[in-house]
Amino acid sequence: MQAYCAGSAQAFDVLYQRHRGPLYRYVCRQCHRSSVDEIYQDIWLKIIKARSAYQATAKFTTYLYTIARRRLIDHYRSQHRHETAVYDESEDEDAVSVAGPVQIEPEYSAASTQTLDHLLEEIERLPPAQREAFLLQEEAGMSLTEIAVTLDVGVETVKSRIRYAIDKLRKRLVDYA
Amino acid sequence: MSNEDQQPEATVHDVQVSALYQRTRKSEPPASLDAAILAAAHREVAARPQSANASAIFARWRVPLALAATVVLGFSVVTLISQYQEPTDKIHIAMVEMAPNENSVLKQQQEIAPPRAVESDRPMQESVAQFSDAQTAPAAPSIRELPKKSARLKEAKTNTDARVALVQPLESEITDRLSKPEPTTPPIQESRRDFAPSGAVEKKAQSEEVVADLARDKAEQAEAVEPHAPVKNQTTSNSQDAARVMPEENTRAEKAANPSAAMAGVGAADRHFERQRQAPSLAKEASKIKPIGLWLKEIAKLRVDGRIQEAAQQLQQFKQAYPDVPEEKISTSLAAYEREFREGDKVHTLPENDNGKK
Repeated sequence: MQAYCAGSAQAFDVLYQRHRGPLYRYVCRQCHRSSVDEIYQDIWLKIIKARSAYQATAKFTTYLYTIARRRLIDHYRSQHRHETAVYDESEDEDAVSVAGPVQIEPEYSAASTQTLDHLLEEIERLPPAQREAFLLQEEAGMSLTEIAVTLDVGVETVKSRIRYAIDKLRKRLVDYA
Repeated sequence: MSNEDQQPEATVHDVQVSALYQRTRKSEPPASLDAAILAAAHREVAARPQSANASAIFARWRVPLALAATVVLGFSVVTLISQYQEPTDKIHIAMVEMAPNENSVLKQQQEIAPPRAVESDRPMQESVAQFSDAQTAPAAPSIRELPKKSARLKEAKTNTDARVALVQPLESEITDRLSKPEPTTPPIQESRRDFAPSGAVEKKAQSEEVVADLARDKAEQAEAVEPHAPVKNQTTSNSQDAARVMPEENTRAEKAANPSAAMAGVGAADRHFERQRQAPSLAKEASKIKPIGLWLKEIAKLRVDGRIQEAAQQLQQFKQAYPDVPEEKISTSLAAYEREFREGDKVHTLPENDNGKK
């Protein structure tokens, strides 16, 4: 990103190829299909316009997904959907009740397309706070600390959200099987 | 919840769920979207190739520049403050330097006397010493303390009450001695010639009378001034001065009573003769700043006591010292004081502190 700020257009090409897939999927998992392209393009245009004011205070991944998260929140507000990234405690309490030691069947390794679709549906049904934490870990490959910085919460909170998300997914996959 | 917190961080990342999710990662942005974004990025670089450098430089040097500006401003303010403080310091230093110079004038006045004293003949000094010990003993300590008291007066210039408290004891002592019809301080040269060694017994008796008169006058002054509230400090200082002076007076009176002891100290006679010579000029200076009200009250007291000649003499001195005071005011004030004294009531308040106004 610093090379692109210095005037290298090729540096942006490399940067874009590295983050295009994960960012696109991160947006896809959290909003309606019809809005994904628009939101995705807006995120990158914001980064391009912010080139002159960019300061390398953190990893570019953190910077990129912070912008993406804010754009999604704006999208939620514009669509009057109140499923913003606000952490919902009641969802966690429900998750505690369902969470527990779950044995995943061996046949999951050879899951069918239906199972994968079911997994994506379950991810979409996750509470927004747990979903975005899970996606940041799986798609962006962030550590717990980086996720905490991006979401502006504590590390333990992030850990808890991811744990709840995984437990729910495992439980629902077992139920589906 | 606590059980879950105790779980290791590895359990947060579930391998099987993660592996299953990896298989869903097939979604990619369309090629047209990629092309539009890349084109926008290239256009931005083409439009403003150097803008990032300028902002990056500004961002890099923002904190050091702010610190440098703070240091420069702080130094400037400190320098300005120190420059403003210098004139006041100079004034203070000048005032401090002036103070000793004024004291040195008084010291010079004291130092002028010795050569004249040395000029006088020995036998005469011995004879006069005996008398001067008795006569001028009360005035001597006051003259000795004049430099200190004058310094205190300068400090108390801004405070009128303090000035009155400091000046009145001193001036009253000196003017009392000047106003005596008996051997007064100005004609000391004459008194030296008049009182020859042959009349030692006569001089002794006169000196005892002088000491007694002084003590009586002091007590009267203390009584007259006591009720006035602002002058309360004056009475205390007056009594303190009297306490300081009286032992010396007593010892000097004893000396006068014992001629042999008095004659033995020729050096002491010289010192007292010097003090006698200094007394008139200083007393005159002090009499000029004597409060009008107090002076008129003393004159009225003399009149009531039947000492008409002394009162007339005092009144004449008063008029010389205060030529601007109208006759009507003097007569009115004297009549009021006399009436009060005759009625036997103490004067609780002075009619007007003219000295403070002047």
